[in-house]
Amino acid sequence: MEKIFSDEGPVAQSLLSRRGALRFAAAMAAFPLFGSLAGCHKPAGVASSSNQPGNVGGRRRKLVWIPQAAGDWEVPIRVGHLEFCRMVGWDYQHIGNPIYSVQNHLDQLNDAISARPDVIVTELESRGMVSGFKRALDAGIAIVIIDQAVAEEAEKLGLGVISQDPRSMGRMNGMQAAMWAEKISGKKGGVILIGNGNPGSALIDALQSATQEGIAGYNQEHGTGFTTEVFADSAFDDIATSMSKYGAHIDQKGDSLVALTGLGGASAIAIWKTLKERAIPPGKQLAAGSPDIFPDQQTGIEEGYLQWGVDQDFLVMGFLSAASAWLQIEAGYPYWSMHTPGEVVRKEDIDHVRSRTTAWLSKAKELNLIEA
Amino acid sequence: MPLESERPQATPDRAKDEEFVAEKRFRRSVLLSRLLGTRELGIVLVTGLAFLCFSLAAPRFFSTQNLVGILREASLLCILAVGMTYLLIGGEFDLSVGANYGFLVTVLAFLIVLRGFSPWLAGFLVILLGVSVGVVNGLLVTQVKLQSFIATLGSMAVLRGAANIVSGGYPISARNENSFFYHAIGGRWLGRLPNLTLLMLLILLVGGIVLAKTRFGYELYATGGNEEAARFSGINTAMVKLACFALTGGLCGLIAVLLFGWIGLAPYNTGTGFELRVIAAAVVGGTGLFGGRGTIFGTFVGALLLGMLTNGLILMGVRQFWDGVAAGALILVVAALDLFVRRSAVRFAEVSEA
Repeated sequence: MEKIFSDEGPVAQSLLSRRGALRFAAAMAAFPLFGSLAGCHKPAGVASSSNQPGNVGGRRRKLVWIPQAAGDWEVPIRVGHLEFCRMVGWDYQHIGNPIYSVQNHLDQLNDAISARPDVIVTELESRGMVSGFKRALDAGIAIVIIDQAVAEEAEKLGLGVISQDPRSMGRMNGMQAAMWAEKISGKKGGVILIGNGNPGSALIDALQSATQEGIAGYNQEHGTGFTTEVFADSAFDDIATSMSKYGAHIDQKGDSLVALTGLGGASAIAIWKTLKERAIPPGKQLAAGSPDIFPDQQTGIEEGYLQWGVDQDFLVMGFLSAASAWLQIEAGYPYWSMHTPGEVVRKEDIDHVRSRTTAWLSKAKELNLIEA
Repeated sequence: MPLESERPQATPDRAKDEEFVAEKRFRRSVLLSRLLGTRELGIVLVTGLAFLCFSLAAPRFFSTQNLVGILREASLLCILAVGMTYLLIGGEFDLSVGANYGFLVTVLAFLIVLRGFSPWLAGFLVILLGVSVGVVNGLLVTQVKLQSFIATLGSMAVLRGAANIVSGGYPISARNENSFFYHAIGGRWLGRLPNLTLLMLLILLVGGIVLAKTRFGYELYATGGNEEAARFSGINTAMVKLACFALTGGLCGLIAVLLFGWIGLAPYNTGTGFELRVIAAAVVGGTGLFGGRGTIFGTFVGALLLGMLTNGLILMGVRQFWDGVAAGALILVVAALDLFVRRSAVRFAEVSEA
């Protein structure tokens, strides 16, 4: 036993007293911290050669993915990222951002910039994100826009966008809505209801206006007179609320309603569940469908409640965004906008799409992203 | 004006009549005073008025299908609001209910779909888990002495994150929706009334009776009304609060089971913002934010009003986004009306006494 002195007076303690242990731990923690601040600390296990693929200055490159919000849609994107990062030996980090909020997304982007990764992949869903993008570029971080962007802001920043073309996808959605409305109701006019799950988001709003354009285009080509009505369907927040909203709209429109469409997979699921719950016979009274083609939507299409979906191939989107970053920082080759496929999916296409879905789902399980 | 001496003398019969009239007046004033003193009067009036307006303005509002739809929509909200009403009466509240609900529905789907548990067993386990979360919240408040705002704010973040960890940010869907579990919850065994609504009515009834007629209810009002006095009266206020937190957690588990049984899907974002709607239903229904006041009936009417508003405004064809503004404005009107009615009751009581 060694005699030491505390503030309260002399006390007999062992060398491993609580205070001693704390001092020791603080010193141990401070050493690498000061070391890293002084630029002299090298984490153990890092190869010294910068020639190895994926390495720069003796460390592995790192890609950070910051989704606008958590969602089923970003699981295949993560699979695409991980596949590419594994191939080139990059580290990968997914930053969770559960709620659709520009401020929350910007906060996460700023946090990621502070960590100084080599690449950030994220959306530019609102002009509010521009300051974060500028900060990242000023900090020398390669940034790739994925999934959605305010086109003119992306152009000003000199960045391309790796995404489905929302105008094209929206028009496809609108054409499908009008076509199925005419086919199922046998009418030449009526209301097509459009549920918007995330009003104010660049992609979703572009999809909305393009869906309306698609319906107008169908009217022009086929001499029909379908009108549209848009409402905030809450599908991206809470399915029970969304179902009650769709139900109320079905009641309000009555016989004038001919079709229901959303602007994302979550809306399609709310529509499917509402139709099923109200015992509206599948494919007999109301046409229904939406962009995206997630597994539950596929079931909705198989059951006949939904007639169509539009696949935008998120896995490819993820893979291409990471590959674009690689081209920029490894080959000095600027990336430009690329559109992933936009494929209309109907009942007869489900088997084909299921096999594609199963492939990324199995990979997601293998990578421990999901258990489902 | 006749002089005192000129006034006719009251005969015994006349005196009896006057006494009778005075008593009648007194009874009427007591009845009116009690009626005005009822905290739910304002909300009942507003709900009645809103019902009338929507029925007149929106032709499809007053249809069986729509009214049943409103009841079903309010079911999950009402069930959870019973627990929240208890908590608020006890002087506490729980911000984590939405996240807890989302977490529990994810765990339930995980157990049933990915681990092959029987839905009934998984449901039971999830309710137990909900109770445990509630107990942890309760212990944080009663034993660690954290403010319920801080304790449940922390729990909310933990549970929301946990839901994302369990689900991987991916919705889990039921694989066999034809089993009895889904029919029992999503079905209608009593005419057009969904089973969900029947269960809600049962829980409201039991919740109301416990609150109004049992010793626990009395202790809860006493705890929320004046905790110190209640403690000096021999009430174990910590235990009362703990029971309320546990009950609320258990009800989160129950509505998670009901949601999954109803739609066969566990979206990762379930319950986002739900806590505010639950608190709003209770407060709009006359439950005081500072404890000691509230009834299950009031909460039921509050939840109905909130459900009716969204539905009614859509049926009236109100343009998108305005429904939120209208709902918020109505909450303010109800709160102001409630205050007005209570002040009138106090004034009326003072005048009556005078």
